[in-house]
Amino acid sequence: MSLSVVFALFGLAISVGFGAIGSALGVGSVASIGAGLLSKEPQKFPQVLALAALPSTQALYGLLFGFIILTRIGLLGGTAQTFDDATGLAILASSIPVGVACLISGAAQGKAAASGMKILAEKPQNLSQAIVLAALIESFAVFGLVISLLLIFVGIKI
Amino acid sequence: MSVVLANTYLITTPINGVDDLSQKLILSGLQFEILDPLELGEEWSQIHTLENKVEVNTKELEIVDRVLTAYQPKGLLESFVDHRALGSANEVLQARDNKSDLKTIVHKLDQYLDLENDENGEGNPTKSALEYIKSTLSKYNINPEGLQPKDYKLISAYHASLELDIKLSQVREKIFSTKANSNTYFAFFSVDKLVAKAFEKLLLKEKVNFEKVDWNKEIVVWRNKGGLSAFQGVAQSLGTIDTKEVDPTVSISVFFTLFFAFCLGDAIYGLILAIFCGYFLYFKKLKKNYQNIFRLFFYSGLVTVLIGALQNSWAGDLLINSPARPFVEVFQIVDLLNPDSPAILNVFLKENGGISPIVFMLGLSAFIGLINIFCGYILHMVTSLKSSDFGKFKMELNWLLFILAILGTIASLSFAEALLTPFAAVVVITGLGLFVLNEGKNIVGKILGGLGNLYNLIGFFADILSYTRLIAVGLTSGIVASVINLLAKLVFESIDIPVLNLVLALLVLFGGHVFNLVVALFGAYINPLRLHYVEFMPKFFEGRGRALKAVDSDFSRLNLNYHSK
Repeated sequence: MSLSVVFALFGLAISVGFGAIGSALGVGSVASIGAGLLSKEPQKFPQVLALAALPSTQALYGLLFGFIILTRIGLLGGTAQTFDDATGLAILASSIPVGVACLISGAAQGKAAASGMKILAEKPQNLSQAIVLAALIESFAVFGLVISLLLIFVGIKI
Repeated sequence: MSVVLANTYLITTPINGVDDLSQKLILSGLQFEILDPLELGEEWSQIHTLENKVEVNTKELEIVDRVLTAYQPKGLLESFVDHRALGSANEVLQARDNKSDLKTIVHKLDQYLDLENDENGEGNPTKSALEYIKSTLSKYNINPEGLQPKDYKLISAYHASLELDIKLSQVREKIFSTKANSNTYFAFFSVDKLVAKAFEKLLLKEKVNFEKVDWNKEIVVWRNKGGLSAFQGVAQSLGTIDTKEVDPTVSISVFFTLFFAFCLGDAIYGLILAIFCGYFLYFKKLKKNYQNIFRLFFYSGLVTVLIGALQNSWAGDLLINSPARPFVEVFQIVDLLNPDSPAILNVFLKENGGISPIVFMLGLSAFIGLINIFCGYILHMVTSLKSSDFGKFKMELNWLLFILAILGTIASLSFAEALLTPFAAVVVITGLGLFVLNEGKNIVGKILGGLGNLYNLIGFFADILSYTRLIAVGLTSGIVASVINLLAKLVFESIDIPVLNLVLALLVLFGGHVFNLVVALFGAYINPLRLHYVEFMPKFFEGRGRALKAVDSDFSRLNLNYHSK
């Protein structure tokens, strides 16, 4: 295996790993607050689940980008591509926007959604407000993803 | 228009008629709100409200609810279906008269269900206790092993009669008398104009004095028919419209379904969603609180089929790698993931400068965002005209021209340099307008206001960029779907045992797509909602209206409206 492929795999590790860490932190903080709410009002489980699942998209974006790298370098089905070290490094760089954006936005979205539990506890009819506030943070993960996608599909020629 | 003011009445009644009247009104199925006189202001704090004498037994309500739930069909799909019994107002009143009998029945049933659960578990089965309860219940002709529909209805009516007490006590809280006239009681009622005639007729029949009055606030009834009601629900979470605002429901119905379709972006997923929701909407009795969301998903699902087919996404590349390929490719206009595809747009882009289709679609989504935001500006202009706020109207028109001129300038830089000067001139004029037209009183205020307006330009471009999520999120579901197909294929090829490999591959395929559909659905619902709440609606929607909060004539276990229709 050439060094260029190793660089690309580092890129994969960054996008999938960071995305998953961000989601884990985020979902973790929502779920722990949600469990407290459920101890008093177990019938609110579907709503708690919806809030807790909000920060899980970051892991998905990271995973998506990981799959894209795998298919671009031909490790997942198809024939393995050969490319130079600079291209490998470029793939590594392209994974940083989505990776870092997902890591931090996931954790931050978790905080926002966890605070949303208070809305769910006291004014459950306003749940959509809690969701929208948390969904604001989603944008930043999406921005990272958009740039990474542009880089890997348009900027980098293999 | 779908926004109307409600009628408000002041009702005068002697004390002994209060409960009877309230009960008749609630059971009539006419939606009414009983208004709180304290909302009228200070001078009304002198009145004294009726002492609350209706006894509310919430514990009993819980037990009845538990028993009824136990006899309902179970399962995830059944939880969407409305299992209320159909009943009439008379049956509720009868159930109230038979309170003691019904109470015994329900309590025995509850005990029976409790013991039976014990028996299924590891506890000591108490056969004799079960038999005893059975024999007691047989006196009432009830078999606890399977409840007859008529008994289910009877218990539902009992539940409704308990809920009626809660509603009555809510009504009583707002009935009042004054010091000067302590034997006569008053109440403010507000009803929808549609049922005002029926309401007046009922009051006349009951020989109640009433007069139409002006309430200090305008009470609004906001109603959109049929499918549009689902999209009204989207707007309503932000607030209730008042009569001077423009109803955004129609524009929301167009944009929401379109955004949803781009975010889900797959024809098969859209089809599954539309069939699932359509089945419940048109072939089952859907619970009331699910109706809006199912309608929303149904229409959005239909649009998704179209958008998905245009993008040639059928459960990822599932159908494209199947014999159905020639049929599905008829619809394709663009293929995002495969730039060399023979789709019309791909070919066109390749021949004209070789822009990647993804970049083109990102640009297109930003353009859709531009249209959405302009629609917001125009709705704001109409709103300010409706409320005769010409200052705001001029401001908004100026802003719209300013933005258009800036976009024109940018476009003419690369396409038609001859138009650069006129566009730039408009930018300068409308740019000055930003300073002149704002609400600032003196020069400093005008300058500060103008700078604030200029700063909004950044917000405008951030808003537009935000719409690129439509393609990014849609791409996610498509690519993950394709990866699932690939994984299934790898499983099929790498296992050599003939039948097992097919079974495992189908399992991966099915499980993977269900997972992806759920996750994609989540994103496809959240993101359009956000675009509406953050980018689109704040441009014009204030939601200052005061909605009619009707006393619900609907009971959670008994459906009266069936008869009133």
